[in-house]
Parts: sequence; C-alpha cells; structure tokens
Amino acid sequence: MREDIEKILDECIDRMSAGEPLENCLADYPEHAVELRPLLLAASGIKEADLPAVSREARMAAKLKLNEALVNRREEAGFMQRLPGLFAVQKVRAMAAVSVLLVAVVVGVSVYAVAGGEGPVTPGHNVAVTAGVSNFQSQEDFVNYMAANSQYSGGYNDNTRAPAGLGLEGEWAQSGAVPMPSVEEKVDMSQTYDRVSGTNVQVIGIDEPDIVKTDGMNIFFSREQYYYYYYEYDYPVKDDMGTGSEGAEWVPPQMDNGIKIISANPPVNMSVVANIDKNGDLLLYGDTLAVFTWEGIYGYDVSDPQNPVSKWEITFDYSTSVIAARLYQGKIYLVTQTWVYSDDSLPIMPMEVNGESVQLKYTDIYYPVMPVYTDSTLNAMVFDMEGGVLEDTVSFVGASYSSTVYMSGSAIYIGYSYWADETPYVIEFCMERLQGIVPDSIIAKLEKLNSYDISDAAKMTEIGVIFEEYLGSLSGDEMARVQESIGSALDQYYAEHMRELESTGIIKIALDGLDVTATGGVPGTLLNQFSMDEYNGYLRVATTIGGGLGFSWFWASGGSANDIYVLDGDLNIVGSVTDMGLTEQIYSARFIGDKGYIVTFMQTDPFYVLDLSDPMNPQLKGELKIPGYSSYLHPISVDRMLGIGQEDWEVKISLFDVQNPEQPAELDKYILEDYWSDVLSTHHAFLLDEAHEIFFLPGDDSGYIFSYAGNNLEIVMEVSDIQATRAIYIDDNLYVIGDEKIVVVDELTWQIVNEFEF
Amino acid sequence: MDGSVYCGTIQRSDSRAEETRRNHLNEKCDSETKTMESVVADLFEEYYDKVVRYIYVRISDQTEAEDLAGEVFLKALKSMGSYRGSTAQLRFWIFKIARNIVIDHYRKKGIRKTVNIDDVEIPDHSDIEELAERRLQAGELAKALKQLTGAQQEVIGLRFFAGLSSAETAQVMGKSSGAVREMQCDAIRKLRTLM
Repeated sequence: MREDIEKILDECIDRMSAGEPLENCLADYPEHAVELRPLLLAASGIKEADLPAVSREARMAAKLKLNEALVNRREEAGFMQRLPGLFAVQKVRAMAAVSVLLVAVVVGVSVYAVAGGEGPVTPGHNVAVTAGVSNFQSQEDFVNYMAANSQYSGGYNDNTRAPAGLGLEGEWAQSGAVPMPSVEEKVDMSQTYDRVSGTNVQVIGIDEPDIVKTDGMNIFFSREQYYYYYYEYDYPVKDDMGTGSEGAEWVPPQMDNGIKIISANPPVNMSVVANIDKNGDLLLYGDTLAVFTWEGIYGYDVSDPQNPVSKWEITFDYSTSVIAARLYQGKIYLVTQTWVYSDDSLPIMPMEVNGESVQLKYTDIYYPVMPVYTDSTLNAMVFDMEGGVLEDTVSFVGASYSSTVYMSGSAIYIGYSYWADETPYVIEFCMERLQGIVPDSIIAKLEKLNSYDISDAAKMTEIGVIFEEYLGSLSGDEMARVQESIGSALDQYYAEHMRELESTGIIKIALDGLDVTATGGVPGTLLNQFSMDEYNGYLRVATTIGGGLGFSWFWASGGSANDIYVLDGDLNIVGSVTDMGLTEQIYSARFIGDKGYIVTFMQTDPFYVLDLSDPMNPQLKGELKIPGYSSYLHPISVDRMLGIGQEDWEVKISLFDVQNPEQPAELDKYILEDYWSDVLSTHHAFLLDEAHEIFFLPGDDSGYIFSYAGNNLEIVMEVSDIQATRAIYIDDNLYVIGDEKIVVVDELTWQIVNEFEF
Repeated sequence: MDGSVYCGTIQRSDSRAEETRRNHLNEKCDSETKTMESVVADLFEEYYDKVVRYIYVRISDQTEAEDLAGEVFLKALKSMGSYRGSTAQLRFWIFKIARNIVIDHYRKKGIRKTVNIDDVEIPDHSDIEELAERRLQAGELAKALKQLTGAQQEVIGLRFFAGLSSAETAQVMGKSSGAVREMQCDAIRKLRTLM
C-alpha cells in the first residue's frame, strides 16, 4: 500500500512536470485521491518555489572559465591549464569589452591553483627531492591524503610538488626478458605449421593487445573501430522526462560485425567459423581469447573455434579506464586508472570480476611521502588469463594526466606527467628579471608587493593589475617594445627553469609480488611506451621538455629540448644526455641493448644515436639530419634500423645504417604516395619477416610488402583495394588483413594464394 | 587502446604523427561533428541553471551554488576522457559530479546542519490550497529543506530542480529506485508540514 502510494506519487510528479494537470492524476487513482492530493499540492509548491534566479554574471563568468579551459585543453598545454593572472593582460587589451570578467576569471583560476597546495615550490631548487613512499593504513588515511593533495575544483589545481626521486629499500628485480625487438613468437598448438608471427611488440615474450591474433590455425580479427563522435541536432532522444528536447548522439564504435574467427590454415580453404559479438583489442593465450572493450575485458574459451564460450568477464566502473595491458607467462598485467573525486567514491571499486566487485584495500595503495597532486589511483593488476581470476593488485595515487606504461620481464613502469605550479616562478621572474625593461617605479611596486605577507595567488592578482595599468599607459609602439623585451627575458628564464616545471613521475612495480619497489621522476614528458626501456637493471628514459609551449604568459615563445636519462634500480637518475633537438620534440625513441636512438622533429629529422653502455656516462654519439621524420623505429638487424614516418605528408620509410654510432647514415629511403600508414599510430601494424627479408606496412588502402635485402628498399608486392590494417605469416604464407578481406600471398613466389572475403 | 580515431583531442596521443593527423582531421571534424569538449560546452548550456538550483537546494547559498556549478562543468571537462557511459547518461553523470562537489564542499567547510528547529517558522496557514496558490519563497523552502535528511534533500534537488527521473536520481545517488521513491514521499510529507 505504502509502496503503491510512493509509486503513484512518483508517476504523478513526472506527469505534472510534463504539464498534465493534477486533477488528471487524481482521476486515475480515485482510491488514493484523498492521500495524494495534499502530497501533490506540496510537490507542486516545491516545484514552483521561487528560487533565486541564476545571475547572468555568474553564468557568464562560469562560461568564460569553461571556455578558457576548453581552449587550454585543445592546446594540450599542461602550462596553459594554470594561466597566471598576467596572461589576462594580453587578452584584456584585445577584448576590452569583457576585460573585467576575463581578469576575474583568470584570477579565479590562480586562486584555485594555489588553494590545493601545501606551499609554493621555491624556484631555483631542483624539484627532484628524494623522499619516501608509504602505503595507506585506512580509509581515513586515504581520505586525508586525497583532501590535502587534490582540489575538486575542475582540474585547475596542478600544484604538483616535488616529483618523487623516491629511493626505496628492497631489491629491484633482475631483467628477465631483455628488451629487444621481435615479431616472432612460437605458439604451442597442434603443430601443422612450422612458424607463425605474433603481434609486433616492444619486448620479446610480452604480448600486447591488438586487433589481430593467430594461433597458427585460426585468425582472430576485430575490425578496427573508428570513434567518430557525432553530435547531431534534431535527433530525437528518448527522454524520461518527456521533454523531448533537441537531441544529441554520439555515433558509437561500429559494433556491427564483432570479432571474426577465421579458419586460415591451409590458406586455400578459409572460412569464418564463428563470430563473437564484441569489438576491441585481443590477447590470445592457449585456448583463451581475451577481448578488451571500452566496458571491460571478456574471456572466451576458443578450444573449439567454432563455438567460442564465454569464460569470464571483468567490467569497469565508469570512473575506471584501461591505460595498458600486457600478457606475460599466462598472466594479464593490467594497468588501470580510477578517478577518485571525493570520499563519496570510496571505497574504490574499479571493476567487477565475474559479477563480484573488486574493492581496493587501502593498505595496497601507495603514496609518495612528498605530496604530489592527486586525483586518481593508478592500479596494476594481475589476472590469470585462463580463469580471469584477479591474483594481485597494487595501486598508487596519481594524477589523471597522460600515463605511459612500459613492462619489462621484471617490472611494470608507469610514467605519468605532471606540472609544477608556475606561480612562484612568475613572481621570481617579475622580481629579478625586469630591471631595465620596465621603469624603476614598476619594479618598486613589484618589490613592495612581494614584501607583503599575502598568498601567491593574491600576489599574482596584484601583479596582473600592476601590469595592466602600466601597459595601458603606453603607446602602441612602446607597448610592443616592452612586450618583446619581456618575452625574450622570459624565454631565457624559462630555458633555465623548464626542467623544474614539467615532469614525469615513474612508478616501478615488480612483477614478482606485484609491489611498488621504487618511484622516481625525470624532467619532461614521455611520448609512448618506447620512451622507456630497462636494460641490465637500468631504466633508460627519453623525454621532451617544453614541447614548444613554454610559459603560457606574456609573449614568450618558449622552447623545448629532449633528454635521455638513465635511472638505477631505485629510480635515481645516474646519467643523462640533455638538450638534444632544441626547439624540437621527440617523434620516436628506441633503445636496443646499450644503444639509444631518438628522432626529434620540427622541420628536419635529426636521428640521434646514443651510447648507453656506461649508465653513469651516457653519450650522444652521432646525429643525422634528413627531411621529414620517423615516428616508429624498428631494428632489423644489429646495425640496421628502419624508420617509418612522413615527409611532405607522404609516408616515408628510411633505412639507417647504425653500425658506426658516430656516423649514422641513411642507406635508402622510399616515399609512398600514401598519406597515412597505421604504423604511424601503432607499432602493431608493422610486421617484419626476417626469413624473407621483408616487412609489411599498411598504407591508405593498400598493404605494402617491402624487401630490404641488400640494403635496398623495394616494393615486392602491393596488395590493393583491401583497406589493409595488419599482416601475419603462417609458414611461408603472408596474410594481408583488410577490413573485409584477407589476401594470402606465397612468400616464395609472391603469387596470391587466396582472396578471402568476409 | 590502439586503433581508435576520434574527432577530438580527448587524450594525448602516443604518436606525434597521430596528433598531426588528428589535427588535420579535426579541421574536417569541426565542421561536421562535435568533439567531446564541445559536448561539455553544450551540457553547460543546457544544465548550468539546473545544476545551480540543485546545489542551491543542497547548500542554501545562491552565490556559492553558482560558483560550485561552474566547477561541476570544469570537472566534467576534465574527466570527459574517462567517461564511459552513453550519451543518455551524460545528464545524470553531470549531477553525479555536482553531488560529489556538494559533498566535498560540506567536508571542506566542515559544515554541519546547524539550524535549530526553533528557527524554523511553522506557518500558521494550514490551508494547503492557499499554499499552492502562493509561490513559496526561496528562504522558506531553504529553511524547510534543512529539516530533511541529506538524502531527502538530494532527492528533492535532483527530482524537482535538476529534472531527473527517479530512476536517474537513483543512479546518481547509488540507491534503488524504490528507495528514492520512498525518500521522495517521506520528504514531501515532511515538507508539507513545514511549509
């Protein structure tokens, strides 16, 4: 009865919200009318309550703030996210009409930026402070830490304190699988083949999820997904409130065809034997196929390829996303990130495994003793691939900026970027570097301001005001001159401090025991997984600092530089090579044994060769400048490196001779007429077959098979009209896989064996 | 995961080439499609006022509610990349963020319910019809709302001022729809006596 009333009341409230008169509802439920009537009248009173109107100014200020954030985000600038007040000066001049609001908005941002921190970083001090690492003891511990180190104010609080150069006790594991390139991976199945390719991965023996896997007999293929997010108006969306307002819809990933299981050996007799109604990257181990979708990971028993049977499933909470996954010795190593926005999101339950919620134990969550900006946990987990059983988990508090994961045979390294608060730097710059550029009276004002015991945020506001007044008093020419002078002084100051402002924290998690064994940090940001590599117990890291952005205020053009750092097992920096490719950014990196190779790019493609045989004394050995860039480097032998990239918007393949590190040379290059190759976005699209001295790469549409025999790059075969994405080989048959067909080529004769459409 | 192409810059790419390409694509995308960022901008247009009202109902401070509502959208923008729900769920996702921000607001300020029952004027006009005709003043509602439990306040805020269905309210609050309907009924009964 009571439930009835509750339901009816609920229904009537909805109907009245949609415009129906109260009486209609009462008429439908005459038996409850007496009880309902006063309740509905009260409900209507609440609904109609004369709440204060939302002020136009507040709405506009919020909108400007959001716009600012949108612009910053588009520019992908870590620095831009914390525009200090000074930046406003520039805009105010251009947009006088909204000057007041803009200043207010930007000042507001500065306040947020400072509010979350413990105190300013002192400029001029190296931020890499050694500190400890600890784990939480309780939820209360965790909440207190998050409260002190995060600010739920919309992402403006990036007052990262020191990155941890955290020396930890404990052994770092010995390198198990020595990082080296390989594409060949024998799969132990019923042997009706002699050799079969695996996904092109970073580290031999450690598989990475991709859209194609094969067991030597079958091909498992999930068509590549394109996520075009449409947002169309006039599209009716079903609306619970019946308002039917203008609608919106993203076009979801194309899920129409699911995963195809294709019987592929022998190649003359191919057929689709089963479909799985999921799409995503795949891992295959023994008889278990794992599918990585946006929602979760799904395990299938594919021992009978014609009847894949669901075995286990891991589904993610909405605040959890996968950063990376690896398959190693039958275990899935999964790195996820869970956004923790307030204590309301506690306890942290990032996922469900076979319907049961996984709850993180606070004692499994580590944090650096030296606080860092925090809004999420980075979780490393081990699942048994066959059973989908969660075997172990460890977490570390971190920030939801870009994270990069590299896994060696002994440890998972998670790199996450963060930025220091610029505010103290701006203040120091103003105090120390403006003599001779602005009048003494302004300097005096600034010094007086700095002597006040007020917050940095308040100082930033006041500095903004001082400059606004000063610049406003100048003529156009004078203003341009002053701006230029400040800009160049700032460039200089920035170059001196950029390594303190932009950092990557690195967490090392030993595979054995899945424990955080060290944390550390390097200046700059990482490009991708190839930016890290473990060798003989040392971690080598390639970073770009600045990314051409520089300080976001005033008229500084900023600068960039690229560094290589060598870290010991405790993640202390023991050696470095700095300042490569000034004004450029890293486009690709590869570490092979005791050598490192990086490509930076702005207009030309400097290819650098580094000798890392002495970790304490890494050296830049050679440099080669050629047009275009390489965004993927693949060693094809001890002294030959392939570079795949672009030149003048066309796909370029370079063959480098790296035998003499001091004199790298481009032995040959080939420019395709194609604009794009998937190799430019994922190394998984590349396939090397050393036995035949060939490699495959997909182009805009065709699949290209290149020979590199005799140091000459030549197209052996172009498989056209296929929308090529990947290739595999089984024995001497190369399967070029496209969106809707597979073309099988005999590698001995380069004749087509079969064209199989599906 | 590899192999995805979006119109937008949701996450930093692992590949500079991919970024360049994406920028290229974005020129096209911008004319035909909307990025996730612009989805947030559109959400702002549609829901800012409702979020302000929802927060107002929770904290009874209009200026603060307006500020916090701005934060809700900044937070949404920031976490758009990790949003995994459907478009239809965006609405209550926004209110879920709003709810967390309110909770956090209380926690940070150490605000507790401090209103004494004596401060609440129980109006002498008990004629319910009269009540319906007269628009409730914001202050009256705010005072009355303070007599509700936090969860009841939330139900009222989400149902009446955010415009969510009871099912959506349930999702935001992490309760069952039945529990939400029950709280709604109790809250209305209580408000009726207070207003």
